[in-house]
Parts: sequence; structure tokens; C-alpha cells
Amino acid sequence: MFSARKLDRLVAAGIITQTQKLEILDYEDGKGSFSLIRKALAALGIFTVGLGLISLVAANWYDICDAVKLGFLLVAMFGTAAATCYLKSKGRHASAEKMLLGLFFLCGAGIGLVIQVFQLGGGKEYTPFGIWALMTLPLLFVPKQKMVSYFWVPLFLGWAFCYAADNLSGWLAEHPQIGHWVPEIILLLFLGLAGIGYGLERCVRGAAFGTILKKEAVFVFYLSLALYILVAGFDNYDGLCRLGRAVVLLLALSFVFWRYKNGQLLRRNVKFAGWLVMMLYINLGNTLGLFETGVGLIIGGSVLLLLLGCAPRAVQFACKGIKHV
Amino acid sequence: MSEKLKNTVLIMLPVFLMAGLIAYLVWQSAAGVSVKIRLRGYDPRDLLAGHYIRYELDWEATDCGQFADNICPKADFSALKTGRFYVPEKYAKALEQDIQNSHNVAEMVFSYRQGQRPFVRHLLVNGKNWDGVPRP
Repeated sequence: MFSARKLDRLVAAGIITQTQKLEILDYEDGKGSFSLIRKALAALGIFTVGLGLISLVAANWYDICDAVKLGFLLVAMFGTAAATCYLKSKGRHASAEKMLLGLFFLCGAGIGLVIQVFQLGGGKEYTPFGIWALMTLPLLFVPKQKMVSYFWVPLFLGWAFCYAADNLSGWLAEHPQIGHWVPEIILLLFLGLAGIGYGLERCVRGAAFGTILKKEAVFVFYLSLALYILVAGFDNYDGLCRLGRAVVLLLALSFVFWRYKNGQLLRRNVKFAGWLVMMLYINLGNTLGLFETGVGLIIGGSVLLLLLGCAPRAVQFACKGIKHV
Repeated sequence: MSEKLKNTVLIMLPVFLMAGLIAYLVWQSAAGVSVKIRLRGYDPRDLLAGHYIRYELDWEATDCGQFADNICPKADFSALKTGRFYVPEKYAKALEQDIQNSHNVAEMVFSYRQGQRPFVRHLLVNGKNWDGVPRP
């Protein structure tokens, strides 16, 4: 692994050219030489420094006048941003990324300071997080950054969830016919976010936040779907309807994944189909009262044997076939 | 736009947004006139939750003569109905005792403009700034 400083010395000695130096740095960035452990430690270090800054603000820095505090904040932010620009221009992307994450946390600490100086407390608890996400949105479009996205996306999703829960709960209580569909709306919302992430991934080349938004939204979607199916398993007739909707959703998604050759997500859908069948079995057993006599278990076991005996192709498809998609 | 310029704009934008936010808040808080509103309803269990005081505005005891048409603009202060006032921890205990003392009068000074969100300026206890330091 080559560091930018070592390469600078080689350039100065005339061993390599400036172009070769940039090519080597690009190659190093591309092959991911910055190992996962080093990345995690760097992120942890910067996160700790960020927390320290926020704690410093929270420690009631009362003896220093407000103008000096705010001036210090702006100077610190400007200095960090300038250092990031400098490191980027020198091709030191790994260091620039750390500084960028520092700028992200400084923004958060700065918002805390502004709230204290201007006594803005008392409003909605989640508003500062929304301002933080909005203020740091441009950082997501900086090429070759990933760390900020890993912190920004959960910040944004957390804020959006709190905002929606706070503003929509009253409205939904007044409109129970829509309130009944909230779980489905949440599922579709996360699917929509995953779609936005996918679109950004395609449209904004070099910006990682689209990929991260897609991954995290897909993760939360499947987590919500698992809970949705679990609850539906114990909810009698309503649960049966919900399980039916889950089947439609899984089939539609499987078609999309099959169409775009995403074997990983297709395999995940097959696992979810298994989870769904199990909860359907529990639901039907409870609804029809089959568990009281053991008839349900006999029927369930027979259905499984039939499935294995009569539909070997489907089982093969689930177990092996998709791996080659 | 060159790549370098684009990067510089993207990285510097949060700094300018923060500067803009501070400038806006300074302007907003300086533009209003000072009004005093009485405070009430302190819950001693939650009076000082860490570094701030939770307060509630007491419109019954507030002099509405300081507002236009002698009407207290409660709607403009709805966002601050139960607000927070940040104080340093080392001064907290003494302030808590001062405010809990029923012989004392606690008032919040706001910078107010009709139809706009008010901004907190000071907390007064018996007409003096809570820390005893004179403020404009």
C-alpha cells in the first residue's frame, strides 16, 4: 500500500510522474486497500470526536460570549471544509473522507450550539435532526465518499419516521379507513425509498449514498415485512387478508428481481415465502381450530410431504436453481 | 463546472448554510421588540432536566398592555407554550431555588414581532437577569 506522502517523495525524486502517482492512488482507492477494520476504527474515532464536540457544547460553555462561540464554530467548520478540499485536490481521498465526516459531525454540534445560544428549545425534538440532514445533504454528492452516507441515511430515515409519526398519527386517527392500511403504507414507503436509492445509484455516478439508501431501505423493508407476516399469523381473518397481500407483494418483487437478475434478493424472497407459509399454517390452524385436536398438525405434515413429492421442480428451483440466476 | 470547483462548492455549502442560519437568527432576534411574559407551572421534578429549565407561559399574570390592542398574542407564542431555557449546570441549583421561591417573580423576555416566531432573550427573576449580570 502506498501513501500519498511516499508517492510525493517518489515524484520529487523523479522516479514516477505526477500522472503515475494519481493512477496509483486511484488504484489503491479502487481495490479497497483501506481495510474494513481500519475504516471502522477511523469512523469510530471521528464519531467519538464528534460526540466530544457535542458534549463540549452541552457542557454549558457559559463564560465565553455568544459571538465568540459562534465565531469559533464557523472557523472550525470552514477550516475542516478547506482541509477537505485541499486533501481532495491532492488525491488523498481516504483522509479527505475522514475530514468530511468531521464536518458532518461539526454541523450537528453547531446546530446544538445554535439552539443553546438562541434558546430555541421547546419545539419538536426531531426538528434539529431534520435541519442537520438538510444542511449536510450537499456532502452526499461529493465523489468517493461513503462514511458520511452511512451516518446520513439513518439520520434522515430516523427524522422522517419521527416527523411522519408525529404529524400523521392524529390525522390517521380521524381517518380509520386509511389508518387500517398503515402497515402496508410503511412497507410501500420503504420500497419507494429503496427505489429512490436505486435511481440515485444509477443517475448520480460516483455518489455512494444512493447505494447505501437502497441497501438500508431494503433491509428495513424486509425487517418490517417479517414483522408484518409474524403479526398476521396471529390475527385470524384480518391476518389472512394481510398474508394474502404479503404473497402478492413477494410475487411481484420476485418477478422484478428475476427480471433484473438479482439472485440474492430472489433467494431472500424464497426464505420469506417459507416464513409466510409457516405463519399461514399457524393462522389457519388457529382460525379453523385444528390445533385443538392435532388434525392441523397431520394436515400440515401431509401438505409438506405432498409439496416435496408433487412439486420437486419448485423445491429444486428454490434450493439450487436460483443460485445460477 | 470543473470537478474541483464542484467539489469545493459541495463541501463549503454546509458552512455557508450554517453562517446563513446564524445570520438569520441574529437578525430575527434583533428585529423584534422586548416583551415580558410571566412564567408558571414549574414541576420541581422536571424543573432542571440536565442543562435546561422547562417553563410554561402564564398569560393570566402577563401584562397584555405591552401588545397591540392590549391583546396577548397567544397564537404567536404557541410553539413556546412549554419551552426550554438553557442554563449552565453550575448555576442550576441556585436558580432552581430562586424560581421555586413563591415570593419571586419569574419572567421571560422575548424578542417579538407580530405574526413571527418570538425569540427568547433573557430570564428575569424579580426584574433582574437570572445570573445577576445586567443585559441590554
